[in-house]
Amino acid sequence: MKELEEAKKIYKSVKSPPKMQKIIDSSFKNAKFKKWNLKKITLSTAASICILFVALLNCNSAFAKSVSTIPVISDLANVFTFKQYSEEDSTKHMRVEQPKVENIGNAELEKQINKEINQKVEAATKEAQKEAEENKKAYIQTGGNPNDYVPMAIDVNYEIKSKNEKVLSFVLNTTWTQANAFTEQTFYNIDLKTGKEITLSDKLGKDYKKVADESVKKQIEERKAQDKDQIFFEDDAGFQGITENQKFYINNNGNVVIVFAKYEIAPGCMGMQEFEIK
Amino acid sequence: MQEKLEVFKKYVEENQDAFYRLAFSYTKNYDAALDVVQEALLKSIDKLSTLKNIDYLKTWFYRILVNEGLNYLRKNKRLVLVEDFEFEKSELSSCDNIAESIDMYSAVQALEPKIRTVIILRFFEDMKLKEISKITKTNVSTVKSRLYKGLELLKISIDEE
Repeated sequence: MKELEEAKKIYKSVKSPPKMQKIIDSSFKNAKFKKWNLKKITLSTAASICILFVALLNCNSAFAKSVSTIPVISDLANVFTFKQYSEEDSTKHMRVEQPKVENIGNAELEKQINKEINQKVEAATKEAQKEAEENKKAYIQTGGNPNDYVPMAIDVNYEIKSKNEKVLSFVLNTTWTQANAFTEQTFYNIDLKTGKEITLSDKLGKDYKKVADESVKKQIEERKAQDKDQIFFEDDAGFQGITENQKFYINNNGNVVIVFAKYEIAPGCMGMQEFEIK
Repeated sequence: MQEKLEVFKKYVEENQDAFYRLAFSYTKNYDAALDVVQEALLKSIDKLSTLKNIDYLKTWFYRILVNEGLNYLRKNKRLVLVEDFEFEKSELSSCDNIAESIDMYSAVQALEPKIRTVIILRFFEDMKLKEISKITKTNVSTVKSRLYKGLELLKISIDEE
């Protein structure tokens, strides 16, 4: 017991770093903004940027020259967190960060994408709920102690791959974790000039399949040659060419990046695989 | 609501060391510990309106913080190594066998997260079993069994009602 008292002294001697106060301040500051909806903030920010521009344009000629390269209007095209919640019980721990797109220049597509995201999130959470309950039931029926049960973790979030005046590319990730983790990804690539979803042929031309297939094959060989720990499935199970609904995104260089899910072309230990087509 | 927010902020500021320590015990990493606290803060500020009785602020916030800590571990399932920790020697002046107590500190940090949470809250943060049961959303008997299991692993025997 005495050792525990001494260990307590060590524990208590850990002090929070100075950065902590900043984190507290910024967290509470954000709370005050919560009353505003996101759209209002975007608009008012845009308005204040305009005012700033006018002021700077009048007094700085160097700035006036560079300003033409800054896209103001299409910058409003955005993907933002629309819903965020978490739910925890004895069967599962669920965290959802649901994105929504706006101002992509095509109201129809915008509606369709947002609807699809909504459906995907709903389906994933429902399915996860059901599966989590069944898993727990099976665990207990096979003699497991309910208190030792590790709940299933479900994580839905999104990641912006690239965003500029021409392109908005992001991915919706749904990850299930229990002993093993699996992530389902849905990619959205939007051409902000035309307001349409970008296809591989838009980016790689008519021979897109050939171009992508050759590049991926070459890169697989390169990776295997460079590092013997890189394992890919061979022959029938391996890479057989890109599929009709091939997953891809547009990276910050404006290049297509072909994505394969875990187990798709390589053993699970290799995880997801990405190939940039240059 | 504004008043509630101010009470909460004051409480967080006064107890930030304790929150950081607890987060650190999960992450064993400076930046990640700050992230865990921040995540917990943002969530709790967001949900503050659902807290009906401000008297429960402590257990309510600790619950969110513990959850965030455990979430972090779930997300980062790889082995978390115990980093070298810094402590002020002066604060241990009365301690005549530092080596043994550091071992005990490391031993606590090495316990399984759920057991460790109970040991830290009970012995380092001096909380009551009932409070811990609220924080970990488990019943008192589960808290007790985790506590005994922890003490057993630490090879400590004490009388705990």
